[in-house]
Amino acid sequence: MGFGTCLRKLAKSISSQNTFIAAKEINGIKIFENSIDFSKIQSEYLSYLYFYKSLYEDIYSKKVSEKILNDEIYEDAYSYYKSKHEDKKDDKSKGKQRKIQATFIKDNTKIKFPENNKEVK
Amino acid sequence: MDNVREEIRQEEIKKISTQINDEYNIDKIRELIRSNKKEFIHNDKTYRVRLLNDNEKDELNILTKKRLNSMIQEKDEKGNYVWLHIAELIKIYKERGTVDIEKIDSGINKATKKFQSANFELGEALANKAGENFLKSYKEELEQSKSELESLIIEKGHYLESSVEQQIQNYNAKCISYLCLDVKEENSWIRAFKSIDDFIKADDKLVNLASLYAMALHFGV
Repeated sequence: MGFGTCLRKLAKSISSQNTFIAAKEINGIKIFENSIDFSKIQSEYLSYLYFYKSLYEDIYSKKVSEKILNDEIYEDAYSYYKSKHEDKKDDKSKGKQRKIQATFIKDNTKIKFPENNKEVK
Repeated sequence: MDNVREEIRQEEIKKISTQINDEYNIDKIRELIRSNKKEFIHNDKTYRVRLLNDNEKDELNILTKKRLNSMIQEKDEKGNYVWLHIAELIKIYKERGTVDIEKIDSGINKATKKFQSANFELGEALANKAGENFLKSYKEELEQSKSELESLIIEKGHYLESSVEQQIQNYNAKCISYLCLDVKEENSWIRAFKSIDDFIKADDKLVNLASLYAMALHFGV
């Protein structure tokens, strides 16, 4: 088992996840000896802790079956899909906001375009 | 019957042994993550790999630049430059008609898109709680596109390995391992090797182990 898989297994373990949650809530519980200037491997470990925290939350809320935890490929694919799906949702909501802004602007006689800040009638 | 039992027993032993090995590896990485340091014993001596400090980073910069300056000036007996930059190598390959790096790059782009699409499809199937057969087929597709992508990246890396840029990157990695490797002597830590050349010439096992931890610390896994 390579270091990459070890790092994932460690971040995935219930004890690491508990420490991660406790460290966020209780002052004095630390994941690393240092609290600034994280090394590359520490940054990757933190990313995996968030990654698995999010997966566990989705499993508990029945968004996805726990069988994804049996395979790293499943874990990555689900996370990738989720991030892309959320991006699409964000784009849609931004589109809606733009439409709302346009309607609001139409109802006023003077409109201010954000692009060049010119006032037009 | 006895044969079946023996097979099951062997399977169990294998499983336990893998588990122990995994736990051992996880313990090794746990120490590295917690403290940014890793101690290990080699030929009865205790060594330590740790993060570089600011002075060592300056030292690394000097070592790498010195090597780069010497590489870009080095000529062979016919007066030709020994080391070529990536752009020069790509041009030579193209002129000779042997290797088309642009074509490999375009293949990498296509394979990346294919991989991302397969990754998305598998993720979507998991989110929609698709059946095992669907998942298996999406997974196979994903693994196939991943292996295509990896082989193209390896192929490109192979053709450009002799470039100045790649050689400097390799040298930089060796310098990091040399600078962050300490040995314990009379209860204090001192740099394990006097020079980068001594480090490169040292026992392969020690160099590889030190490099493994040093790379994980400084570049990730």
